[in-house]
Amino acid sequence: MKSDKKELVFNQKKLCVGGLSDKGVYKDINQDAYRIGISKDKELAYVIVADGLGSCKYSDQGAKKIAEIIEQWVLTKLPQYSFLSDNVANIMTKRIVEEWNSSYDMQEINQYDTTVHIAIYYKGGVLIGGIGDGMALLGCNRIICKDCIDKKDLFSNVTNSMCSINVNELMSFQIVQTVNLEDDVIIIVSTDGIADDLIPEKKLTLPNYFLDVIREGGSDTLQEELEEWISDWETENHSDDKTICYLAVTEEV
Amino acid sequence: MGLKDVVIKEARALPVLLLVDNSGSMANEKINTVNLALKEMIAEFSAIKNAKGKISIGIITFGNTVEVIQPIDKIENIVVPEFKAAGKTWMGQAIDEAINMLEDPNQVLERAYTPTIILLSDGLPSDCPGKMNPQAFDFNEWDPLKRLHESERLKKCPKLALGIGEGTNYKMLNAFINNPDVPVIKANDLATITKFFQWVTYSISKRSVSSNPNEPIIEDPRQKFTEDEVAYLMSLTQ
Repeated sequence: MKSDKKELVFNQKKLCVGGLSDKGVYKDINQDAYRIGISKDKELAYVIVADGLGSCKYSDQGAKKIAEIIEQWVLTKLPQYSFLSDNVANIMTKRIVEEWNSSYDMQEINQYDTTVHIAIYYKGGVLIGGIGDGMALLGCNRIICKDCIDKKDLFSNVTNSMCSINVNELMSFQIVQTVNLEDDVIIIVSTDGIADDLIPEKKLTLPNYFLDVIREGGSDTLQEELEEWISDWETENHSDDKTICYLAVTEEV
Repeated sequence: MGLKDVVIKEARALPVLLLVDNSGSMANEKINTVNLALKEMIAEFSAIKNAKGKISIGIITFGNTVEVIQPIDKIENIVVPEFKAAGKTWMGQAIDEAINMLEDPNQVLERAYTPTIILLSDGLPSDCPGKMNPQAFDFNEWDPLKRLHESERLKKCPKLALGIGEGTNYKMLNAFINNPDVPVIKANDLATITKFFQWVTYSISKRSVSSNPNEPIIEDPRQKFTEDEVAYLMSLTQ
């Protein structure tokens, strides 16, 4: 299992990002990919989760590639903007899709197909979204808690993706501005290998649970719990890759 | 609350919905053969161990009336019915009922794998405007089939069909499948009905234990059936 986390404190806030990815049973390669990062100078933290489509020959490479493309944009281009906005999200979408489409020969790009979801904290604002199935839970002020991914009433594993014809329209993001972030915020992003096996009513309790564990035991404790949870997944005969990342902004006591 | 309390323990469902023609023309030997073959299929499904996709079955019949004989349920809860044959062929209504059932997230959860829809018939739909002149009718434009193929949730579902005897409209069954790679199976005798169920059983069983149960697995029909039993579709696609 791949697992790592990063955290730092600034402006009386503790920023914490973590990620875990576990290859499915019987599989030779993990078709999921994730990236996490944090920068005090840029007042920036991000998590990126990509799920290479099971039926595509090189989707493990595609998942890594899209995560790299987004990470590069977040680290080099996002700091040119003063704050997160719909306009920034639109520009990011356009650049990501352009870069993705130019990464592979168009005759073969379908073999690299992947979903991707992102959560970014930047200068007090939060951006959350992406394309395809999976889960992107947003919890803030201990009241709002929702899954930002609209599954469009499709069955498991039937998904939009980077190779969808209208990827520019299907990739969508939400912005939560600072005014809503007086209290703690957490975003949990996962692939459908996890999301599809969660009890729909109970999964919305996860953001507050994650926050409670971070407050009481710190991010090390959360990371340990997640490792155990994922490596000992309870769904019978489950064999999918499983990847989960979180981005938490908590009050530094 | 712990993290484990949030996880569904049961494997994801792999639904199979059967649409069975039990109109009057199916009476006696045909329907008896279907009854027997269905029992064997359910028994085979029940014996599958360690399935990633847990097979669930639903059955709709269309004869005198359209009837949901078995709502989609886990294989262990299925009570295999004995079909009786009588009346007309209300296939359009049955397809509509199937769409309603499969599109209902309370009956088929979002986490389910893509369902397989199986249609068995020996005639022409009584509720289709093309019944008067089927050769000239474009069944792709028939409302129930249009709805089926345009449904966001159902358009990717694998569909299999068995036509029984010469009275069947194979053009219509081909429009139901809507996939040139999958033939309509033509049963010239009762043995082919049994073979069809074996073919379906093999395909669904393989899917249920595969690493990605959403990937359709269809046993090569040329290995299972004679040329005559798939010949109609072959001539259509040439």
